[in-house]
Parts: sequence; structure tokens; C-alpha cells
Amino acid sequence: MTTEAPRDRAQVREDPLYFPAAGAALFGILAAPVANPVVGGAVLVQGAGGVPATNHNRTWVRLARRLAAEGVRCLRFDPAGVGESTGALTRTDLDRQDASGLLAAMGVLRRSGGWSVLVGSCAGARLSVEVASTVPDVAGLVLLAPPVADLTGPAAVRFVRRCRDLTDRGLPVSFVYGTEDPYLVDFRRTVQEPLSRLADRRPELLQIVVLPRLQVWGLPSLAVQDDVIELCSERVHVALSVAHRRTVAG
Amino acid sequence: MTGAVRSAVQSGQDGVDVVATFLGPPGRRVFAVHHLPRTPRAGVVICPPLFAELVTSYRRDVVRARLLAAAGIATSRLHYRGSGHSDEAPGATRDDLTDDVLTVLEDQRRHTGAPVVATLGAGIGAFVAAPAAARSGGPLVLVQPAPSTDLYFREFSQVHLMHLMRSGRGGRPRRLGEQIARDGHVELLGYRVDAALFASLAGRSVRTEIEGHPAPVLLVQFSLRTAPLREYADLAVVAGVDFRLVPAGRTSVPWLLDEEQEPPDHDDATVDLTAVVARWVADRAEGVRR
Repeated sequence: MTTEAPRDRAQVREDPLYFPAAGAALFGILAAPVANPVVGGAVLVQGAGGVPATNHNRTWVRLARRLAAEGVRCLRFDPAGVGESTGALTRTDLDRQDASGLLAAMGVLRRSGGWSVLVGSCAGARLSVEVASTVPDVAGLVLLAPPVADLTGPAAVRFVRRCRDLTDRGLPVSFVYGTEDPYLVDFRRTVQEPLSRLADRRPELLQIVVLPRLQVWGLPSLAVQDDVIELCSERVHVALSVAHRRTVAG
Repeated sequence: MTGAVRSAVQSGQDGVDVVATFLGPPGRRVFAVHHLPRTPRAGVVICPPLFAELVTSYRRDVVRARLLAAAGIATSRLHYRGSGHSDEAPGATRDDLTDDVLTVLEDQRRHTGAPVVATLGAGIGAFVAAPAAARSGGPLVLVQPAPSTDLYFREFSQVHLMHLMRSGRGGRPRRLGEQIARDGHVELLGYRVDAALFASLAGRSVRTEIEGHPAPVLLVQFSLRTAPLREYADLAVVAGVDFRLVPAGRTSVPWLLDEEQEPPDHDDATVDLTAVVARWVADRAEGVRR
């Protein structure tokens, strides 16, 4: 394994797989470079709306193949009760989501070595923050349009503290919204201000990206799909690079 | 894309093996999932819809496949090239999608040896299932098919427009054919509709698809009514067509994900539909065996 992405695009292989999680058999596809993978990988985390691991217009498929071509192993998977997976889709409060599927997916990636960058979409972004707070081998987070309307009062304080703790651990965290996102209004109302202060202090670790004239939630346009793939790829590489430097320094 | 094909196999307690795999050479791979009972009575290949419906109908088709397999019908699903987990296919036409279905159908036959394999298409998927059945010579099952491709694209375009207006992003009514002719493609609900695929589908009706079909056809309509919908009434009397009604209540807009709607896993209409299809396909296979 190497620590730098290959300069030329690598050949990619994809392996479908089933893995157990809380009594369900979850389905995923691991995209990986045929040779010289970068240490660490990415897990693409779906939201709670029942969208399968392809995501809309197979944005996750394209992102996974791109990352694999750049040397990064990438797992996309169907949550329980979604797509090919068995089990039942559960819809619960955003801060009480079942983490067993994501933890099992990270276990799949861990078996082939290294850290995981979590790329979470919608409720999957909130779940990614929860899991990263409790699991040591997360290298970074890319959070696509996380819904935050529920984050008021103590819940907001707790969420911001979690994000601060993650950056204290040296993890790059990126919030990504579009100006047309329905959730951006909630973000501005609830946690943007304290997170912006944190971002001012640690600009290399905490980023708030707002894409002009686009909606990130639901990936409803070709333009936002392309932008999200580009942005996620870049942030995954940054997170893995930071994790590598931290390991070397440590 | 490269490397030897690896499949994932999940063996269920119901005696059904689920095999997820990529078929075809690197760069032209079709993602397919076979649901294989130990001793299948017959086979079905489910032809999925296109574009945004591929996401919104995904689970529904998985559940249908599981129920059909549990009833002894080997059932396969696929993602056409250019969609889902399959490889890219720029410029694909309806013939290419049909090729993908036949690739999966042949692979299912290799697994099961089933004497009869039907193709099943719902919505716009009917317009791929029909040519696939014509080429394979197998029975054809149409579940609430789009009456015509022109109507399908008109509704798709209208839903796109409504979606834009609802999200405050405006949008103007447009003539798809003209725009595609001018730009080579059009974007609807975040999906690119290319000229080649549009042209290969345009101007087709279910009636022209099933008239003269070489094998039996089952046409299923979801309804709380007891008579065929107007658009299916003239199809129900075409020679060789069996018409069945399956009771169903609320239906959602097929292009949009309805997060309020319960997953189809325990939906009565899905159970009833698969019972009807399993019996019909098994009867066709029994007829061949006799």
C-alpha cells in the first residue's frame, strides 16, 4: 500500500459483497484499485429515505469508481431494508439512528487496512458525525446537506461540541450545502455561527462549503452531481493525507 | 474496470440463493442479481424502468423478485448499462437495453435450466421487456405499463417542471423532442435523456408492442375498480393477452421518492401481484412441459 494517490488513473475492480449487521445481510460493492491502493478508504453513507447505494443518477457509483481510479478503496452499501439488503428500513430521530450498518461497513473496509473517511448524505451525514465521535479509525468527514432543524438548545451545543472534538482529534470535517438547499436555512438558524467560529480557528480542518445556485440534498441536477463528486474526491484525499501525516508525526 | 468476476452469494433460509454479479466483459458489464430457488418451476427477468424511476422502484422490484423466488420462480433483476451499478454506455439505445436483458436471461438459464423464462416490465420497463420477450420467444408480463412512450416522456417532463416550480427554481414548459434534437440531450430530474435512447423509444405504444407477440402475454392493472382502465381496455381484448386486475389503493408519483409511503416489503398489492405472476408463469412452463 502507498500513502499517495497514483498520478495516473489506476485500473479498478469492483466486488459485490454481503456483510452482516444486526441480523440483516447488507449488500455493498467495494471499488478498489487493482494495484497500489492508498492507505485508508472511503465509506459512502446513505440517508434514511430509502435511496439505494447507487444514489440518485448513480452519483455514488461514479464517485466510488473515481476514488478507486485515484487509488482509494471505496465502499457503497445499501442500508437495512433498502436496495438489495435484507432487514427493515427504520425511520427514527436523527440523533438516534441505528449505527450498526455503518459500523459493519467500516469493518469491511478495515479488514483491507487503514482509516475510513465517511461521506454522508442527508441523515447519513448526521449518522457519520455520531459514529466518528465514538470510533477511533475515522480519518475525516464529508457531510452533504445534513438536516439540522432539530438542533436547538442543548442539542445544538452537543453537536457543535462533537464537531469541535473531531477537529481536536485532527479530523478534517466538511459541511456541504447548496444555496437552494431547504436545509441550509436550518443550518444558518441553528449551528452555522458556532461552527463558523470553529472554522475560523481551524480553517485547515473545518470547512463550510455553500455551492451557489445548487441544491445538494437529493442531488437533483447533473451540475450538483458533478460538483459533489469533485468536492468529495478532493476532501477524501485531504483527509487521508492528513491522517497519514498525523500517523507519521505520531 | 478490470479483474475476474466475483459474485456475492447470500443463501436464505427459504431455500433461495441470491447471487449478485457483474456480467459481460470489462467496460461493458451489466450488474445483475439472480434470486434462485433450489428447484425453479420457471424463470422471470424483471426489466426495470429508466431514469429517476430506477431509484424509486428499486425496492419494489427487489421485493417482487424475492416473493417470486419464494414461490418457485427463478427471478433476475438488472441495471441496464449506463444506469445503477452497471458500466457506462454512452449513446445506448433500446436495442442495447434489450441486449442487457437477454444477457441476464441467458445467465439465469445457465444457472437453472428453466424451460420457460418470461420477461416482466412495469411502466416504461414494458418497452424493454417486450422486445426482449420477442427475441427470446418467452412469455411477456406487463405490469401497469406506460400506455405509450410519448405519454411517458410527457409526464416525466411535467413532473420535472412541477419539481422545479415547487423548489422555486422556475422552469418553462418545453417540447422534449425539439430540445433533444437541438442539444442532443435533455436533463429531467437530474437524469440525462440522450437523443439516441429517446429516438429509439419515441412513438411506441403498448398495443404495437404486444400485437403479434409470439408468446402469451399477461397484462396486469393495479386498481380498486373492477374494469380495465380506459388505456388498457383495448389491450385486454388483443389475441393472446390475459388481463388481470390486482387491487391496490394509493399509488405514488413514480418518478419521485415518497418518503411518507411505507416500504413495499409487506404491501398487499405486491404480494397479490407476485402470486398472480408466479401462477401464470408456472402455468406457461407446465404447458411447455406437457
